[in-house]
Parts: sequence; structure tokens; C-alpha cells
Amino acid sequence: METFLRRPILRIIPVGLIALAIQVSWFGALHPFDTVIQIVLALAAASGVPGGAERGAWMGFVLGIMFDLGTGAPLGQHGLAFGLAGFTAGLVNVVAVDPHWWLSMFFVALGGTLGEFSIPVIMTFMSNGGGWQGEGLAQILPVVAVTCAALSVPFIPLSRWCLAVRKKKWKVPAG
Amino acid sequence: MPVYSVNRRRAIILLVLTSVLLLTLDIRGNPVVDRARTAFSWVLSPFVTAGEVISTPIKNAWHGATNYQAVQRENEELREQIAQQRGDQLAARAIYSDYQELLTLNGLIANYPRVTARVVGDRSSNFRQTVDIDRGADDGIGVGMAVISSAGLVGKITEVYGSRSVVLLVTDRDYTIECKVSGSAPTAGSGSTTNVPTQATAPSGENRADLSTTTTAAPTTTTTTPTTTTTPIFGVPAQGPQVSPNTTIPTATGTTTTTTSTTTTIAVAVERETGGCEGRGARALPVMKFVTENPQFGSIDNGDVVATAGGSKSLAPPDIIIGEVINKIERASSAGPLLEIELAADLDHLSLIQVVLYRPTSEVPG
Repeated sequence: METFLRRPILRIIPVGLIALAIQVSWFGALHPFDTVIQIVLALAAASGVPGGAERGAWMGFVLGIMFDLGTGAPLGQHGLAFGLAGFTAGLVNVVAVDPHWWLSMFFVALGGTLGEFSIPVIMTFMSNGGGWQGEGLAQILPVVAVTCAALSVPFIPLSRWCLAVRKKKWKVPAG
Repeated sequence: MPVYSVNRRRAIILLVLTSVLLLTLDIRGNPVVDRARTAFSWVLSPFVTAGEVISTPIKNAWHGATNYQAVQRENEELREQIAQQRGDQLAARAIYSDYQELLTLNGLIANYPRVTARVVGDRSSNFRQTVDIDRGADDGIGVGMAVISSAGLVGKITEVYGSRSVVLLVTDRDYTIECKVSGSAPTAGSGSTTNVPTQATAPSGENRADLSTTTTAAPTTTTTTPTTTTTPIFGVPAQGPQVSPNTTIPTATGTTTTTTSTTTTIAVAVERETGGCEGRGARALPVMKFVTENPQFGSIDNGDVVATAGGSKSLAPPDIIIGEVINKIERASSAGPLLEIELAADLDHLSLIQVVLYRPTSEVPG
């Protein structure tokens, strides 16, 4: 029973629901620099740091699918984008075994930025009217990057709990 | 750890393929996906409601702290505007009453039932312009129905659940609707033009377009009498019934004009051009396309009012105000000018909106 309750999916879904509710009700109304702060995207990106690229991608994908279901966006659109964000942030483990906080923050910002950038790219492929769908990206991406970096502070431990990953502990070799 | 491990590549390929599959299924329309959305909305709804309850005082405090001076200044400006508009409102009310009377006389009156709803979730994406409202299928709301605020058109319903719906805003790139613009025809001869202030306040966002359209009675040639009678009429479509002789018509000033039976023909037409209104995202104004500027109808200028055109296939009833033309971009091609529209509704501060329970005649069974 305890093993079952510790399955990541049982933690990701309620956390994702709360994050999505906060996104829709709180951050939908606050638009600094006319940009919507993406906290679900930040959570998806942050999950890559403790979980690594693969698990980050899957958690991002699940959160993105929840986002699509909850906001009426085409199913899979944000799944793909948030999955990419988690994957990119997870690459921090390639450059450092136990990354510094600032390095984690940077990779979460990078993942968030790439994820946000990929949304209009996907929309451009799907759009009936055609044409580039990402006007205003120059203004949106810096805001998303900064907020993802700031939100990585609470979200990295949260996503570590969601993914049931223990924090790395290093022991000084005896002798 | 290598960047390109087999597991990593496999995970990414699987993720991309799953997403593409889901996108394809959703775009083509799949009942399973629709049911999943409905179920998820049912689960999410209490979380959003709780979030809304908790966040409202915090949002208000935030707005109070950050926008206090701007709100105060805006309040003063609005008071000034209200004072100016009070007079216009009285005049407009008289005209509106006459207009309704005329519509009733001509059998053109159309009042559609509406459901008032509250916006519970603002736009949650930087690239999709949608808001959530707290009314759904239980209140008779259906996909495609027009959504209005007290100022004008807001958007249309794209997703409907039991007690919640998603509204696609006019500014979204996927939003298109047939619309019309009032043009100012060249005045010649004895034709007279009557302009009603654009700011006129009417009871709702519906059926207001013709209050602010420029109506011109074309100069008429009379054959039997030397007198030419010109009668301004609001809201009668060009193809609509003509005013019969010997009809007493109240005018904007409250006086009445009686047409004489000696007048042979009075061609009364609301000057307008139809086209398609399209959203262009949050950072750009919606545009009206496919306008063929016909010299016969006169030119389209800044300030002309854009409203829904209606029609048997249009999702919105006619004459809902969309906004006014603020920029006319001439194009060399035969595509006609591009009209940038400043929306009448303030989409950044939506609180209470109304869903017009209207279905186009082409969709009504029987």
C-alpha cells in the first residue's frame, strides 16, 4: 500500500491540479509586462532538475496534458512543450552531478523558455490560417525565464517529492 | 551521463509521437477526448473555485497597491465622461426607442435570451486568448454561442461543460466572424446625413450597431411633385422592407416627418460593407478583411462602427457592436483595405459577461 501511494503519478496529479487552479485563478489576472506567468510550465521545467531529463520530460508531459485538458487547448500541444521544458532542464545533470542552485535555476529558466517558445511553433504547424503565431515572444520569453528561475526555488523540492526522488547525499570517504 | 543515451532518445521519441497522436485525434474530433475534457473539468472545477475565492482579495490588494493612482485618475476621467454622456444618453434613449418601434413595425425585432455569467479564470496562456466562465450546458449554453459584455462582443464559446465554459476571445487568432462596417456615403443633392454619437449608451451590447451607423437616404428624384422628402431611418437593412408612403416616422429630434403620397420612390439604405473580422493575438488589434470598398457606398473612415453581420450561418446574431475602425491599411491587391478595429469591450477587465443563446437558422432543426 505504501509503495502504491508513493507512485509519482499519484503525487503529480493532485499537485498539477493545484498548480493549474492557481494558474487559472491567480496568475491569469496578473500580467506583468503583459505576459502571463506560467507556473505549470515552471513546475514542469523544475521537475527535470531532481528527476533528470527522462523523468522531467514525462512529468512535463503529464502536466502539459492536464493543462490542455483544463484550458481547452488542443490536447498534446502543451504536453509536448512542457515535456520539452522538463527534458531541457534535466540536462543540468549532464553538466554537473550535484548542480549548484544557480545552475539549476539557469537550466529551469532555459527549459521554461524553450517550452514557451515551442508553443507558438506547434501552433504555427497546426494553425488553419498559417503564418507565425508567436508575436511578442521577445517580450514574453524574458518574463517567462525570470519567473521560471524564481519559481524553481520552491518547485525543485516540490517536484522532487512528486517524483519520489531522494536528495543526493555525499559521504566523505573514510580514511 | 551522455546527452544522447538510448533511453533518453527513446523517451523523447515516444513523447513526441504521443503528443502528435493526441493532437491529431483532438483536431479531427474524438468523443473520447471530449469525455476526458469533461471529466477533467469536473475534477478541476472545485480547485479553480477555491483558488478564485482565496485569490480574489489578494488580487484586489495587489491591484489596489499597484494601480491606485491610475485607478484614481481613471475614476476622475470617467466621472467627466459620464457627465458629458448623460445628455447623449437621453438623446440616444429616445432614438433607441424609435428604432425599436421601427423594427417592430417592420417585423425585424430580435431579442435573444441571454445567460449572465461570471469570469472565473482569466487567460492562462500567452498565445491563446481564452477565459473561463461559471455557466455551462446546465444553463443552455452551447458551443459557438456569442459572448458579449455591456460594451460589445467579447468572443464565442468553444468548450462547454456542465457548469463551466471556455470563451475564445475576439483577439484570439482562431477567432473569425462575419461583420459589417457602416460607411459614410457621399452626400449629394438633397440627401441628408444624420449622425448619432458613437458613445451612445444603450441597454445592452446587442442591437446597438444601427444606433451609431451613419444612415443616408439617397437623393430621390420625384416625378410628380417638386418636393423631395428625405427620411433617416435607423437599422433597416438595405434589402429590408421599404418604408411605405403615408407613414409617419419619428425622427431623431423628436419631430415627425410625414411622407407624401406624391413621392414616387424613397430609396432608404443603411450604408455598409461586410467582411470577416479576425483576431491577431493579444498584442495586435483585430482586423476586418475582405472589404470591397465600393464607391457607391462611400468610403470607410476611422471611427466607423463595426458590428456583427448575422446571417443564416453566422454564429452571432446581427448588430452586436464589435468596435470601431481606428486604422485603415490600404492594400494594393484586390483584397481590399485592412481595417484595424479597436474593440468596444475591455477584454483585460472582464467580470460579468452574457452568453447570447442564439443558434444560426442553418443549425436550428426543422
